Amino acid sequence: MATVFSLVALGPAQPLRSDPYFYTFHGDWLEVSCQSYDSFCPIGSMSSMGLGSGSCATVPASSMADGGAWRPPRTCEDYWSEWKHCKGIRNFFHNYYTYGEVPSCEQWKIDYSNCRKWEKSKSPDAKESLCKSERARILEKQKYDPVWKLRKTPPRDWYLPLGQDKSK
Amino acid sequence: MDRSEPPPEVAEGEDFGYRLFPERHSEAKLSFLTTSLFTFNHKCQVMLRIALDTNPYAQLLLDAMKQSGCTVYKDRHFACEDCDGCVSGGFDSATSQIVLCQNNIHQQSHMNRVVTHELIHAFDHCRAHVDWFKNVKHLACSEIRAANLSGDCSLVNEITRFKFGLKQHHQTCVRDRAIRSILAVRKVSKETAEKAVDEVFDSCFNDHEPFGRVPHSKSDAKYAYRDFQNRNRYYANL
Repeated sequence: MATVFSLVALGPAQPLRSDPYFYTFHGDWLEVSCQSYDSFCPIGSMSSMGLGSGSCATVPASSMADGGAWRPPRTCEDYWSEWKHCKGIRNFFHNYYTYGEVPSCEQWKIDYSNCRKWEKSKSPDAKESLCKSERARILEKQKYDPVWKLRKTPPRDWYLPLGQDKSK
Repeated sequence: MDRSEPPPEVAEGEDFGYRLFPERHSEAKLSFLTTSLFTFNHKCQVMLRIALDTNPYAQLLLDAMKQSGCTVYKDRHFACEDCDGCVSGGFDSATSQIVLCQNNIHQQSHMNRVVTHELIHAFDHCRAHVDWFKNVKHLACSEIRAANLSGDCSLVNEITRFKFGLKQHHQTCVRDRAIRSILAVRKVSKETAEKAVDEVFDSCFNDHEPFGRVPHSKSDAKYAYRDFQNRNRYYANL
């Protein structure tokens, strides 16, 4: 995980990469690896802000949304469809075939209820529960150390014309 | 996982599986007429185009690779060639190309699966420092992920191979196919391949990127693609 160098408020101006290993929670703070940006480490822009190359960011976990206007991480319709999909017979079979156990779907239903609660009344408890649930899902994905080291830039020869590759 | 272990030495006479893809290092090129009349090249190209345009697994992988800085271009990063044996395809990291075995892929569903499988290898190559040639564990990890996420180990596919099982059989299939793939392209013993797979299995079987889940069907792949497209909102509101 990249070391945090500075507190910089980030908006998602650049599309984020989705690998869960790029995000680490420290209590209420979210450490974002600079590898989370599409164009990898925006070294130029960071150094113009007086930060060292490879700088990343730590932001309050629920402050990354544009202008501080928080919304549930997924739409309520997505929570509903995930719950219905989880409960279905196909998913029951696939889960048993893959993991040897019955799927647990209750959390999707709880998240859907909290999502609707937030929409109706902007309940801080609902927001807290939703964030906690989604962070738990990410932590679940980070249970094991990766086997390899993640890249900071794409392979240099990805776009090389074929003749030049073959002569290597 | 100790990433600082020195990689094992390369075995003598190792060809890294290139013997299965004779056209990779052949200087002689077939004429256009020969290619058109005597190979399945055109059929392979058509099926490849269909897979890239319509298969949700491939579309998610292409998008994820683009976001990671490795835009995939059909003419540059895919090659339809005749291959030896029963192999269906491969990823050549030396040229950053996916090889599709035009003489062994005859159905669109098979093409979809091979394209997905090889794109997973390409995705791993793009996002991580994968030592394809010297580190068997890295190879094992990518093979586990490809077998797990491409649909290779669906119940229907396993039944057609006369491999029967239900509870957790998916994991058995992934393990076996990863070992088979390693043995096909590396001169290592079965024990070495099995050990490498066992050591990295937990980490790599549970690494579902870029899908975020094991996509057992096109419907699962579409859910995964939806989540991928919504990732900005997701990570911005945690």
